[in-house]
Amino acid sequence: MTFAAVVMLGALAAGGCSDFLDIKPKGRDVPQTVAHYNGMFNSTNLLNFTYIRMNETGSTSLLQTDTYWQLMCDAHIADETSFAAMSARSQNAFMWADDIFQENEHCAEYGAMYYQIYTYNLIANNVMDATEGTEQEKRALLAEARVNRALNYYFLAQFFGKPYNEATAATDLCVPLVTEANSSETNFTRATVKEVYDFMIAELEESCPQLDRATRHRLRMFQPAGYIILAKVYMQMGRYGDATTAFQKAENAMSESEVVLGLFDYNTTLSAWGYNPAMPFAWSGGYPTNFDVNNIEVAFLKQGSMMSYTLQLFAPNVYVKPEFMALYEDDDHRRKFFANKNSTGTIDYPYYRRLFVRSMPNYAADMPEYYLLFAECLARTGNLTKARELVTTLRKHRMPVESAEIPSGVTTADQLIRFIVEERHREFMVMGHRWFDMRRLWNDPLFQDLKDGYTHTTGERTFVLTEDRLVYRIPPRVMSFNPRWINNN
Amino acid sequence: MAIFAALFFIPASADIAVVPAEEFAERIEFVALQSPRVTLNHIGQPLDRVLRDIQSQSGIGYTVNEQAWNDLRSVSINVSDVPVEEALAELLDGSGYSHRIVNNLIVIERSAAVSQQPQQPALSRITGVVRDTDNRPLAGATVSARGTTRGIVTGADGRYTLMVRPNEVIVFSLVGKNTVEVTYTGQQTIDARLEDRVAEVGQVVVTGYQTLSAERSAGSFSHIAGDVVADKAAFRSSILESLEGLATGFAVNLGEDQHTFTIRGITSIHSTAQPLYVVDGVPMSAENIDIFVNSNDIASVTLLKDATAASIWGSQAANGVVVIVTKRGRDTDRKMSITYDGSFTYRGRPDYNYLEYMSSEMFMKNALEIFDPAQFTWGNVTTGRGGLGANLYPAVMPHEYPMYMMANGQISESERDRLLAEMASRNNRSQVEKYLMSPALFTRHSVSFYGGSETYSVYGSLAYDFNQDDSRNKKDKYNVNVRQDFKLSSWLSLDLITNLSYTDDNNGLQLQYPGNNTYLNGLLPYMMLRDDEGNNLSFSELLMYEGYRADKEAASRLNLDFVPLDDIRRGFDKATSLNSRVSAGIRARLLEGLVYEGRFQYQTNNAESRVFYNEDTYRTREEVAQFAVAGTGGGAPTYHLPVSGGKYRETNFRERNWLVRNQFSFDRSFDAAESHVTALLGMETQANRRMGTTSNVRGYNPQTLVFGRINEAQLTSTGVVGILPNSTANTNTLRDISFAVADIEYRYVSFYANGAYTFRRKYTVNSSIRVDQSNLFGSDPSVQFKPVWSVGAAWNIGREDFLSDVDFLNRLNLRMSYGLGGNSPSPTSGAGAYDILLAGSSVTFAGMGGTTFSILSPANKKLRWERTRTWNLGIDFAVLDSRLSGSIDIYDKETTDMLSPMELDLTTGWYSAMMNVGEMSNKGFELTLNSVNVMTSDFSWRTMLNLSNNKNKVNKLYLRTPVTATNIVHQRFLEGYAANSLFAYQWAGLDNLGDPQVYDVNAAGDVVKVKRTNNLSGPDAARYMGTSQPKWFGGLSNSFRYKNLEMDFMFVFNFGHKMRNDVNRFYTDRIVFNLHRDFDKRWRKEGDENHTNVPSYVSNSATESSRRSTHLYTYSDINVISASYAKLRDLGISYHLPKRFCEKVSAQAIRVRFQVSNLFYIAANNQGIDPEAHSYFSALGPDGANFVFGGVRSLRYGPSWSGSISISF
Repeated sequence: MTFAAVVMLGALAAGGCSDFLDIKPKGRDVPQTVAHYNGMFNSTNLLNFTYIRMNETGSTSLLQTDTYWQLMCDAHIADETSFAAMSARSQNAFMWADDIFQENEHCAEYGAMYYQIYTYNLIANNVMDATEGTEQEKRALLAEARVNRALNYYFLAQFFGKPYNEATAATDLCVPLVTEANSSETNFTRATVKEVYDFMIAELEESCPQLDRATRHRLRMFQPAGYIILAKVYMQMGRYGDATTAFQKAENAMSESEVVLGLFDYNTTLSAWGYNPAMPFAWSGGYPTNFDVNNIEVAFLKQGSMMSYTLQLFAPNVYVKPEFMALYEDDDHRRKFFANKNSTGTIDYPYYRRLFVRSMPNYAADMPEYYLLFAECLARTGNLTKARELVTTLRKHRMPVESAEIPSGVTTADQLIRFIVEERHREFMVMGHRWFDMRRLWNDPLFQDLKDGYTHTTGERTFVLTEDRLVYRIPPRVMSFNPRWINNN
Repeated sequence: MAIFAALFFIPASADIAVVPAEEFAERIEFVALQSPRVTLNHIGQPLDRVLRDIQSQSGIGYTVNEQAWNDLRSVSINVSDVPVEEALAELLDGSGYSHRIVNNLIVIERSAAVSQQPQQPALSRITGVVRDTDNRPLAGATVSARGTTRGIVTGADGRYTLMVRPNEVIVFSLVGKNTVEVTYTGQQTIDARLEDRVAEVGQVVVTGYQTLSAERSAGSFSHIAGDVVADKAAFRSSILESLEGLATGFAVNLGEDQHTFTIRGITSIHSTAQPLYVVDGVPMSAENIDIFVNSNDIASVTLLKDATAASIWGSQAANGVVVIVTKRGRDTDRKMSITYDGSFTYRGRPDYNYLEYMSSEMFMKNALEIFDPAQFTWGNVTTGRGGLGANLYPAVMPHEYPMYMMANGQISESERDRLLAEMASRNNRSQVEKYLMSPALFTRHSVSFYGGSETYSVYGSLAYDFNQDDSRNKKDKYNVNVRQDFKLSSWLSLDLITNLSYTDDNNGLQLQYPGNNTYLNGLLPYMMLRDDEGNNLSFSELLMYEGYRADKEAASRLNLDFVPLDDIRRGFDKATSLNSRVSAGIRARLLEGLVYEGRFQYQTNNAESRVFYNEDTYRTREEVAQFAVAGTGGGAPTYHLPVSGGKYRETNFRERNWLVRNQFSFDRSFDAAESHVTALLGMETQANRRMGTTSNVRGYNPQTLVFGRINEAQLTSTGVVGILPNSTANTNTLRDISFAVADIEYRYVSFYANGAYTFRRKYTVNSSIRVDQSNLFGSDPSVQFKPVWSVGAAWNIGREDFLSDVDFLNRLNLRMSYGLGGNSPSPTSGAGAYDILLAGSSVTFAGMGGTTFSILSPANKKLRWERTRTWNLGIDFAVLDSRLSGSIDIYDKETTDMLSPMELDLTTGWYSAMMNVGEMSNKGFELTLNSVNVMTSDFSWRTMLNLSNNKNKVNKLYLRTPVTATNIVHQRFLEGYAANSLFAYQWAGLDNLGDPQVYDVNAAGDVVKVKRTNNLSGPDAARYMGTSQPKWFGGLSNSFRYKNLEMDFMFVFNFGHKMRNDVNRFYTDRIVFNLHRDFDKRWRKEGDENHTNVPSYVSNSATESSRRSTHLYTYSDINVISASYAKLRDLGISYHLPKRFCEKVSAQAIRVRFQVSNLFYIAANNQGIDPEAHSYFSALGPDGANFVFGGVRSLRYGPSWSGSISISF
């Protein structure tokens, strides 16, 4: 009898064992349902130019928080002291050196983009097979993943591929087009600039209509943001007509937005944000973060950081060239984002961009940028009236209304285009948006004079931007895995 | 029936867990229940032929030395159904030889005395008691007169009566004890005390699943007697540390950041390198051993080292297994035997001088030398961080005030010097030791008892430990352990083990500054804690500049002063744990030799910790200020955290383990004991679940139990712009959220089997197999089914005929085994076949589903168990009447499929993934020697040597080719080198700026000196310097006994490894902590480079880092030093009080012991570093946050002094 009982006990234990082992770890899950795929978009990790690693505990390790194209823009100046205080990578970027990174260093411009692409690929590859959702929900999530993925390729193309040139795009090398989520893939090849742009256009043209028209959340992708991204891709290709069409679609969809998409009026908001004219150097905060639901200027977000080169706690690493500070009229509120003293007013510096206000620029679908890019496209396609109207609207939110009119000297289309580009400078001074203009306008006959200003100085040494350095070289860490790749010059 | 009678009723001596039934039965049958009877008919046959016949009929083996074999080539005998002794007596009559039977072995030896004495003196009756070293009576011991057939077994009270003749040698023996011999010279009573056999090749080996006869196993085992562990553990709260030096293969490395316990080297880098610990047949974590096991209860410890020994434990056993067996009750004829053990150990405070900090005078001199008001201007240091990178707030250290005042023209130089001299005259060390530290000490009281009858026996213990460390942490621990054995019927028995433990920790409150009690040692030496009038002094200047503080106090309307001695009383840090374990075993004999065994265990640990900082602590006030927003125009601030009430954190941890095991074991002899078969077939299921919750509340009042409400959603996401910053971010966000849960579960299902066959007690083969499945992989058979297995063979060559006349040889056994072990990746190490998502709750995405899922790890379908193949060759021997015995083992372990994070092409989206890509080998040998140097009835001297050698090599480890020397010097694991290797730059001296230089070979092939890591040309600048794992380690013990007095001492040694030197790491910026004395030896002026290697100080950190890398100095070859050392681990004297005295206090025996531990050591470095008080690679910096590299001295204690008393009733 004992024997029988024992055998039964053993059999019972053995029989139940496959279920016994099939337990899901608590706090963990494997992607199956529409809620999982939807939830994957709900991560601020996807909205940053920060290369992170997720740890087992769920915390994140920051592998690279800084990005460097901002330092490669033209408005900066440094002195020997501030230059010496920069990190080696920042120095390389500031000098437009060939390589910014050492082999053991991470490059957020590359790593963070592909890290996010893995998530978008995982969603795009699998969401249509997900359980517990309608076909329509799944299609919207698929479109959201594809548009996001295209946005990341847009950034990758701006860093690692030459500016779009119809004549050479089919041979200029860009980045690998990875569309499958597979961590064990080892055989990547660099796609051409043309392949990457064709991919983005095809993906965006196909997916944007599938997005919900109404923006329901600033940090999720909806039609207005999708079309703004499409327009930006077209602009980089010089296809201003197609860009205009895309902006118009964005404008149409924006009218249905469930959240406010607009511009802050600095005439009223600056004091609410804590700006005190009596102690202008002490202004340290109040500007809503990009994650704040009340930040009406965010239509979709991909933010970078200016911390590495202009942090208020330390002496700034870079200052603004005086000729660029001179672009601001005295009553332009945007001038107040700059200071020439430290926060206690005890140390003098040349003008620098203060933190902590507007320290995390948005490079994805930013409303001020939408106004100016849309205006430029309109000016280039002949609709000067609406172009002027958009620029004036932005300026009215940035300075007293009486000063906001476009100067009377700006009359022709070309003058207006140049004025808009200058206005972009005022709006995004040292924030890094200029990089995209410098690349886009490199071969634009209208802007050849800008190249004269593409210099940096440390006081003693002067560096000049060459065409080769409109792209990063592929970081050594990536090259080491792909020895057969041909690197950028 | 007889087998079971033996198993359950024969009292086991203290150090054997389970004596194999068969062995006992044989012995008992022979000595006590009459010897077997034989029928012999031989004419003119060699002696061994007759003895072989006897063996086949009686099962009693024999040894014949060469001389006897030669002398007795032709013997005749014709007897029928007579006892063996009678037959032997007849056989040897007149031959000049006699026989004796020891441990079931017939020993034929010359009996000159017998043959030359025609007239035998008359027999006399003697009596006596056989006891163990604690004076407890030993039942079942054999007492015999050597060379005669007279022998008897002691009863339950240890008593015996024997008839002897003058000058006969009385032999007292018992399994697991050393044999004692006393010559009879007319005494009426002869008592004997039998000591445990220390780490001698065990007669039985306990694998946790079964108990085997040592001679029938081909595995590599080490056996340690429980009493030896108990003696050492009485003075040391860790049982595992007490195993140090007692057995080969088990390495204890007390250096920080080292693998503390390893068996035969490490076989894994990213899974566990720890051995598997098994208590009473069930795996237990190392922490739980110290929680549950009372060291006085340990019966034995067995180390399973090779594949045959360990493979029964399957995938958890690649790092070896430590099997601990606790004591059980015995049949004492219903009398209880009670023992009290008490001990006290004083360890004191750590040795401050060892840490090489500067004295106040030296500090002040150096601080003045490096003072640089041009670099760190007064404006800069009072408003910004000015060279204090780790500080959030501007601060001026008190010693800097006089310097700045003079620089600002406020005081004269002489006034400054007067102020500095005053500070230099102070030293806070005695105050720190008095008020912020406590002497480390340890005390234990334990009462154990055992007793029983035929059907029931019990062993129990009650223990209380008190442990106090140097950081004012006090821990009380209470243990209640009971083991009961029930014999329900002739074929069915049960056992029940219950353990209960309760711990109560009362910790000293951690200070906000210097952040952690560990860093108390680095306090600025002139910062006094209390003035002469007894007022507690403020440290707030170290945290923030007074002007800054005044502003922030005004804005926040909070007091931001920090007075350490006030703060440490303003709260509590307590923890309790209640842990229990119930283990029940059932054993049923089903058929002859076939037994069913079941084991069912449930263990639960419940721990709770509560930490409270009340509203007056600086920590609480500071946080309130960080989350207070200044009012406009100097108005009242808006507080986002409660202003009254303190910070309270409560953590609850629960662990639940259960195990169900069902197995059938078979153990039987066939063919008149020619063949012996043991086999095992079983299945077990186990689960381990750990759950924890953490709650954080603010504004808590422990009296009213009320806490404050905060807007957590806002404070943890967008945050506020507080009056004080809490990080370098532009807004302050709250980091510790109010509630967190953890829940992790491991499940295993295992099937296992083994079998062994022994022929003629000479040839043994055995084999085992085990399959483990775990929940890591789900039940996908493609990744689960990975059996581990082993085969082994043993040849008891000493029993062969051709060695039978080698009379100095008592035992010679050859063993060989080969097999596969495993190492399971942790279920949390990420990934099997799926992308793993981590769920979270997002305030930011409220309205978009709310839940956030982040990909924690990508699908990784190729992950498998790590596999280790082990070869083992061993020899066990005993010679010279077993006075010298030992064993030698040679092993070769090859680990493949070793898990390693493989860096991935960033294009995949991932930085790295765990892959089975590594390979590692461990080769080595082990030598155990036991010798009985002197053995008389009054005096004995024994020596035990354990020597282990391990050579480790990482044969393959995926690592993206390190292209820089800097990569290499940060590696501990590099293909082609031993695990935990150290690499260094080649030192080339300082240059004329005091900047470090190392040699490098440039692209042109020339040797050049380089001062920046960025300028190194390639990996060749890094040189391999050795490994931090000892290549040679072990222990040397000697024990002496003179009558009632015993003395023993043990040296432990670790040789052949390296560590990084502890050097100065301060070369730039301002001082916040006390400095390493080496800073005083730094380069100061040109020419100094000729007599110092310590780099210069450069105030501007940007200049400093652009000009040179002091890293090159820290990591240079001159700072890699030998870590070899030998230490007198303990030296003890024990005294057994005279029986007469014991009787006066109604005790059976009283033993007192004094011990001093770590009295001295010899280390092979010139820096005075004790390798056990050193972090070999790296450690946290004095601020508790910054990772500094290179070796760092950790706390060293002087010798610890202990006393103990053991009284048995």
